[in-house]
Amino acid sequence: MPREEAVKKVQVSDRMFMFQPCVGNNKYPGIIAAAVHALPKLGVEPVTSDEQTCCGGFLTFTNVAQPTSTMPAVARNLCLAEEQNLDVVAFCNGCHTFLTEFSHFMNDRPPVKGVVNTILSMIGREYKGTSAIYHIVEILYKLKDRIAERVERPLTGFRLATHYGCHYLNGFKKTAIDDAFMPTVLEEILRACGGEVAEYSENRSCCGTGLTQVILHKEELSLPHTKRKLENLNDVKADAVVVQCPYCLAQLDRMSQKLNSRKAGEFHTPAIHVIQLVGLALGVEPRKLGFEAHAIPFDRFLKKFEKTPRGTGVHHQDTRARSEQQTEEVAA
Amino acid sequence: MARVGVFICHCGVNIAGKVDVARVVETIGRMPDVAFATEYKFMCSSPGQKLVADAIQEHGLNRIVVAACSPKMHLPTFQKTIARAGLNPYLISMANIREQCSWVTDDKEKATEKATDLVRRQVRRVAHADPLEDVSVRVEKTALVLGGGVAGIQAALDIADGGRKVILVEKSPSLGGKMAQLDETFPTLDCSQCILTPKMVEAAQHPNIEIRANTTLKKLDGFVGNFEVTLEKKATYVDEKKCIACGLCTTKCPVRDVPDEFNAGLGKTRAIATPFPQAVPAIPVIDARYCLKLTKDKCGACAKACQPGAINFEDQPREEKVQVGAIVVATGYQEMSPAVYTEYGGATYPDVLTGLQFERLVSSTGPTGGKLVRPSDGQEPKTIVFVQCVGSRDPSKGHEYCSGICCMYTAKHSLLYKHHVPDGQAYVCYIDIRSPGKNYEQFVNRAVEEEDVRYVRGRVGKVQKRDDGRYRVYTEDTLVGRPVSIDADMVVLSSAVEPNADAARLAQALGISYDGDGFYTESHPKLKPVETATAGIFLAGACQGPKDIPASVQQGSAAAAKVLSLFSKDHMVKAPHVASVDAAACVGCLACQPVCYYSAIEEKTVGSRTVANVVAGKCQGCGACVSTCKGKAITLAGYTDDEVFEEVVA
Repeated sequence: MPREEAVKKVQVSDRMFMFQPCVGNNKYPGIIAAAVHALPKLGVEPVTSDEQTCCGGFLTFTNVAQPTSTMPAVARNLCLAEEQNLDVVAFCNGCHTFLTEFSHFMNDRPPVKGVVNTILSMIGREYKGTSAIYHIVEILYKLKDRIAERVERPLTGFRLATHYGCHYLNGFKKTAIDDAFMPTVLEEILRACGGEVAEYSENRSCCGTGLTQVILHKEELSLPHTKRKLENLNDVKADAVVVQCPYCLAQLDRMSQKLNSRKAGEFHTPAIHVIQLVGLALGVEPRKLGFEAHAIPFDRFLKKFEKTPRGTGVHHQDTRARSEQQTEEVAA
Repeated sequence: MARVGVFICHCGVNIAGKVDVARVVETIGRMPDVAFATEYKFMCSSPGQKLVADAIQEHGLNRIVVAACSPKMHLPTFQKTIARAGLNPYLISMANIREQCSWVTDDKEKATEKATDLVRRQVRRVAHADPLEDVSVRVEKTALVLGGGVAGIQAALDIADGGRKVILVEKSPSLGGKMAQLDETFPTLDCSQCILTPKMVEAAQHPNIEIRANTTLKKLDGFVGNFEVTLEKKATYVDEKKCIACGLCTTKCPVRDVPDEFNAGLGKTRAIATPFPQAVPAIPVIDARYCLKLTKDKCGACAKACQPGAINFEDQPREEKVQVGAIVVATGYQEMSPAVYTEYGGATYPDVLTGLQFERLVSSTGPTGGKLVRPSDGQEPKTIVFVQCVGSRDPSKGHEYCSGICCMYTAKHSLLYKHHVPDGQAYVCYIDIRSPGKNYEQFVNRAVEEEDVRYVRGRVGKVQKRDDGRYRVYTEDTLVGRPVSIDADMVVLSSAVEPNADAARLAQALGISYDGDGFYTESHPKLKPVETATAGIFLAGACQGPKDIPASVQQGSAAAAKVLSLFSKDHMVKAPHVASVDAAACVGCLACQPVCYYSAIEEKTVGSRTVANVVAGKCQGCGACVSTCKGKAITLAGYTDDEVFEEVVA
């Protein structure tokens, strides 16, 4: 159930600073491509910067670097958006949590901000804390009616499972727009695209990557956990699992491949980032969405997609009626 | 000529340990008007009081200052002493040199200085005091009981049996409260309704009890012995004088999907219905949110069916003013909504229930007629998990306090479950078991030993709905030190006991205090457990804190005893500290009227002039009008300008 007070604070602008996730860029370039092609269709121009670096989360999460040493890096990245008066939109739960948490930390503590700015002054920059930081799922949720109106290829007949990722809902609870244990925003977005929700038991459990600490430990620790989730996805025969974090995507996608190669099971549910899914629905050509980079092939998914009827907003009456009904239920 | 006697108490070492009492006596003894000054180890003891009485005779004293503890503790003691010695009891003043002086410092020098100061001020004040006479007020010997649960019913019956009139106010359509919703009670497993309904009927038939159902308190005026209460009766659209409770209207009502509040949201009822078969009064009410006539101006089937013509769609809320001498607040509690705990899915999953919902589900008057089945598919639950402390002992999401009743009712639930499903398995996930009542521990043991209920010690992390419709409860067994998961068909959450949603509003209307959790505060946690800080208003039941049935009944009886002792006198004495208006000085601006919290100031015509007049019976002596009056036409007895300024400038 979305938290209305947090949803209200999300402001969608015509131009937004697209914070590129490194896992996205390295492993799944389709995420960035989808954003570049899909967001303009929703009236949002994504602005990128060549000067942007990694959010720095990786270094901190793996205890390689102290938060204090990555903080100026966060501030510098945020400066890039601030200098253009843009709000930031992140595509990864890690980037989002890290940027939000550290910006709040600096904004709430003037002495810390002062120290960070002293360092930034060496490269002629200053961090002010004026840009808001959003997750792409927040923007898409805000625009869900617009998505429903502008859908060109409704995902009719697609049964889609959702996976939120721990770091968004539990990461920075002050700003997360949904409840940590009963989230529904992804479901609402994929319904706006015309898809059906495939409910499954393990929806709320972690993908496993947090347990892996991929670099520091052997992934064997988390494989049983990931496997449990993948098995459950097989049970419900979902066409795909929709994620909102490239890191979750990597875990679900590549560990499926790994388990298959070890003959530890048959896992063929493709994982798709929510912006890729919205891109498909908005009529972005599938070949532009980088599905080739996914370890689990999208062939069957795309074959089914080819058969879906074209037509703008075929279903949106239905969606609107449903969302009105939900509003009434909430009000009641 | 004032002849002041000053008596300084050591209070053992409480005062004398910090204050140099002898020096205070010496300094004060030199003040003009002071005829006698002395010290004593315990002024409040019998010899201490005798000392005062003797000194009055010996030295011809006509004003007394006692420097000791707070006047809240012992002013009445010394007033009685000097009255026995022939002095007016208002010619005494107490200087508190303990609580705000000796107790709050280690600096002996400063303590002595402050004590001297405090005593000097009281000497100057009392020297200018006037003798006052107590006001006698008639006691209205009718009691108001707010809340028709078991605590309220008990209080009402005891007061009524004591020969006094009672008005029993209940906000819902029927008496009974939470106890009427219960199936069986711990630790004896006797049927809740079987022991409660006779009491409800007794209350309804008692010549001294008047029941006001569907009614709430709107406003309270007056003071102990003479409260004026404004009650508001909701629009029920059924005339209770005409209705014969035949129930035909309910059978004719076409709206069948009204959520049943009595069944804690499980099951459906009609738009016109009585909450349960044994309801007292048995008059049905119309739910205006669902009635087709009231929402869409269609239907009216009930009105057509009603032979006596009791249905009135034009019904409006009605106000009623009643005069009572005492009030018992027994408004009970509400079960906390499990919606906050999304990890348990209490508000989302159909087979995750609250304790009260489970109670309705196993009750023979419940939505399934007493068949224990899952709301989702009507199947018998073969495995059930009870989750303790949902909202209790959890300051991060719920309440810090322990709800007190859940350990016991869960033991009872697990037994009831085994009686319904003998081949089923019950688990209880608990933090601690709290069973400190008569036969309570044995009752819990009975569940564990005789019915093989498995108690797992650990806080539940989450409840996961499985694809097969079952629920996986993730918890921990802290005694073994391992994570545990249990696949269950039904999960019951012990939702916290919390104050009613409108508890704060009612407290403000009554002028009583409530604690940080929202429960009403008793006057003293040990020695005045049913009194409030407002004289004449008493507490009973769970509105004062989480309680089980025996404790609620005890408190109901205790509150009744307090009311009856108040009603044993025809008149009661009221302190003479009331304001009065000098009509000659009053210009009739009436600026005093809006500042009076107690509505004690009225207009009076003297000749051709309008002046203000204070109704002594209503005045509480707060002094707001005195400080508002620009013409200094209002005086507060016992707090004249003379006295107050003498104290301030001394």
